[in-house]
Amino acid sequence: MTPLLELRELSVAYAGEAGWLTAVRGLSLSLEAGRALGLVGESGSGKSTVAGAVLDLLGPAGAIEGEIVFEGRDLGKLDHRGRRKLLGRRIGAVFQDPFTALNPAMSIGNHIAEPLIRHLGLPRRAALDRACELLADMHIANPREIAAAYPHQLSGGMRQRALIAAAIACEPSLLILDEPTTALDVTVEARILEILEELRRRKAVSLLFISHNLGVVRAVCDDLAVLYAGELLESGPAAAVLRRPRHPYTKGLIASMPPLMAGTRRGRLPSIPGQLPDLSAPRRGCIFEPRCPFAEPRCSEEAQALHPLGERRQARCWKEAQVPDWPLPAAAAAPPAATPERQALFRIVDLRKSFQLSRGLSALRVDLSGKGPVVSYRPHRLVAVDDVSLSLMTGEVLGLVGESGSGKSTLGRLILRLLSRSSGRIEFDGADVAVLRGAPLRAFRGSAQIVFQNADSSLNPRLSIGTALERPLVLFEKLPAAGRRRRVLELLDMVRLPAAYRTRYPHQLSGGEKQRVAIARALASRPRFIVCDEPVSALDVSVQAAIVNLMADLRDAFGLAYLFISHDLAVVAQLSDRIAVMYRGSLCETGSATEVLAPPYHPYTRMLLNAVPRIDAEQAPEPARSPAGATVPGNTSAGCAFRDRCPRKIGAICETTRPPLRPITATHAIACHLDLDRMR
Amino acid sequence: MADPSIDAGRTTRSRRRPPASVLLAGGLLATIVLAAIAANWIAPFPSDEMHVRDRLMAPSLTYWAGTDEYGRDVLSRTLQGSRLSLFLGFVATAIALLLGVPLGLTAGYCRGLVDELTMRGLEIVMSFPSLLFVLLILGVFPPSPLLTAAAIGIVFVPHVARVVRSVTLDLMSGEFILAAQARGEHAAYILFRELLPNLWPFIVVEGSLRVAFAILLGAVLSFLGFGVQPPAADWGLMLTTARDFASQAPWMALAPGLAMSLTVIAVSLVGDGLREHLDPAVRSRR
Repeated sequence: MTPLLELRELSVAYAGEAGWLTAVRGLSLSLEAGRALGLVGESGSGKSTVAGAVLDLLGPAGAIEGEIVFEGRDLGKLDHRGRRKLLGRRIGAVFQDPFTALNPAMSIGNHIAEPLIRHLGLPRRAALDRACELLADMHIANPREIAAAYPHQLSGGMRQRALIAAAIACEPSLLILDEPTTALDVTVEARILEILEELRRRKAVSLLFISHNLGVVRAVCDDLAVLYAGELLESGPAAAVLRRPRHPYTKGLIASMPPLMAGTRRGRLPSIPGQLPDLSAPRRGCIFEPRCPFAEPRCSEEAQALHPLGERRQARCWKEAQVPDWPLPAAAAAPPAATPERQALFRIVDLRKSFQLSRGLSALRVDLSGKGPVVSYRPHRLVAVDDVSLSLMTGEVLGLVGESGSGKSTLGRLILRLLSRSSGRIEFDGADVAVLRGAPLRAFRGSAQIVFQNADSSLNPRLSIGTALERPLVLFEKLPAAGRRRRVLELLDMVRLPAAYRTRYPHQLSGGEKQRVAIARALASRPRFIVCDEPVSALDVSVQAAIVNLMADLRDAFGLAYLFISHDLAVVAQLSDRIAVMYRGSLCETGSATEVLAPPYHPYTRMLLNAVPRIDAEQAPEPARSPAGATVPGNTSAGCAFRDRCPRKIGAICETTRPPLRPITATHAIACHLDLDRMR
Repeated sequence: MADPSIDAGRTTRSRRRPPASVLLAGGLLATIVLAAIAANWIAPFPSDEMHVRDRLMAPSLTYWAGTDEYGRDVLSRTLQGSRLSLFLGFVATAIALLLGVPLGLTAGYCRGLVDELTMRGLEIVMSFPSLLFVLLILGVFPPSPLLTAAAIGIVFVPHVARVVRSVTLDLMSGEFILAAQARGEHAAYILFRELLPNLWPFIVVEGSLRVAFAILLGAVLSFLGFGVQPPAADWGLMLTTARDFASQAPWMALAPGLAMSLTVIAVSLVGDGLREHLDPAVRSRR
């Protein structure tokens, strides 16, 4: 059987200022008709470049060598016109960011109709009808309405479905998906994966699926290819590769993924130290050798070839047969596995925050229906945090989980008084945070700090690392210049960065290093509490594991308390003593990490848990079936916030009465009207 | 960890030279400014000395840039006129930046009512055609070069403020601002130590554009007879008179026009170079 798509010794290089950067090196892959191939790797591995090369999107900057054979034709020999004809017709593509991939001035229906009119020559009316059918295929309940809608009216998940519909409109034989679910919530992601699965079954379309998320790849793909620094390190059937990885890098990647279970205070995640090699300098030996814990002199001497391993598998490592499991790291300096003291650091009572969405002139409404014009001022409000009560002990890590728009970040910022509350009370050390002034406020600022998701924007690009770290020392410690310099070096050491980084600027650091600097800056004022707002969400798995470990070490070393906000349950479970689950501004469930991850569950917690794509093979992901509506932030009426999406809704009581947080055990509480038995 | 290119980027920073085009433009700008200062000494003739026999002469060895309708040396007048044009360009820009940058920063930082009031106020100024607004000011007060510069500067304030405000709004969404607020920093620190350094590239580019525009607007004012009065020398005024003799003596426009273009180009190039030089990201990528 001839493959549908075959890459033969594909190399792609970009002309950089420092010479040629080889983004993809000698890559040979084949995808048979009707199958799904997953292309996996961390950022910088060249996986998107492969998609770009097939789709002819690299432009003049990328120099392509080798052959890209699609349906028996070498695409490299076609001119741009010839390739354009194939795109959209025989090859469909869906990209990562559904928020920018649609033209805001074009209706959804037109987006889908466009390729039909262009490639198949359908009349506009027929094309629009077909667009509605395609939307219905994507399990969109009201295709006519959606077809008439504009992109800004739809949620991310809906947009991604529309984009998939547009990509398969002309029934292409190949669909290339570049991180199609990375920007979406897990529950939405689960839905998209189901749709893709169904597409494969019904239309026999082949998928080239690019992702950094092994769990997602496991759910969608038959075969798997692991890319690192532009080289193929391992490939084979997805289930086999993930169950028994052979290359050290694949082992490291899989080991770095946090398991979906409660971690212990002593536990640390395996991580892959170091970073990607310089792509402009060709290496003599194995490309992964500098980061490989099993490296031997021989690894750096000879170039590695792909070894066939039977059952259609291959790996680029001469000693793969002897490679043991990836090493487990130990906690830095045996921590006093101190159980958190039972003394409240924070107490939050009935906290509420509403935002005015429209105000000023735009909130003025003119009513002309009466006798004379009546002008009224009606600002539109959104309740982001709705009567939340929580407490946090000293030295405790509280995980806060929820989808985007659930009000997690708002809650974190309210606690630090970066936003002012609408009502309720926040106490830190027994004092109301909202009324602090002068010296007590300064002391509060010093002892409660924050680390953000986006390390890029959390460091001022114009300030050197040293300057950024010195500023809190000037503010809080009033140290002389020499003392500050000493303390900056100490801080860098704490987050395991070399002292030379003091004089560097943020752009010279990798994402993980920037996040380390942001953590060091938060530590500078010797805080007792840090809000961690999705601190690892933007990082690669291997780096993410290292940062999670670092945060665990710092927690133990300084007795820090964290409010650890994340959409990723597995990461939260690793680090947290307790977990709180939030939906549309209110808490659904709170309890110790073990309690929240085991039954009885709140229906929302169950939905989140089921939606997490896993790599362990046997557990075929139980479909997270739900009337997956968009998460519209803010609850508007009196009932349960989750009622519209709840698969276990009882009836009228869910519409009319808000369920209180009902204690199940001393530490575990669930806000749901269901009987305890039915939540198991 | 040890990426050699990073270290190289850092250590060579102080020694690194700006690119040739910027050096050239900087040299040109310096020459223009020096020539303006030394105009009285280097000009071959006094700027208002008439050579009645040599009226409308084409460029020659005696009159390098030709003569005008009164037989005055065009080169000497261009040199003399550069003083006023450059004064207008730089002083007006300075005034526009001094007022516009703080206004834009405050509006972008405070948002809400302060933003509304500032920006609506500035829009009132902008709603007048700039020429009309300058003419209004010049019509009310006794004319002087400083007043002209001030009037042009004020007309430019809203333009500068709008650019600064939009960049500030964008920067305010950066998490480093939240981090600063979480440290309890004062507004002044955030405005001038966190925000301002990130604004420099935009201020430099906007400033270099404004210098060019101010010189052009000054020329238009002279052209309309509201700026410098004859027989004083000024690039705009020279162009005005040159228009009447365009077919007989095109060289009358050549020297002042060329001088004006060169100045504008030099200022823009220097601004562009400065912008890159101020950006640590671009700086070390070289």
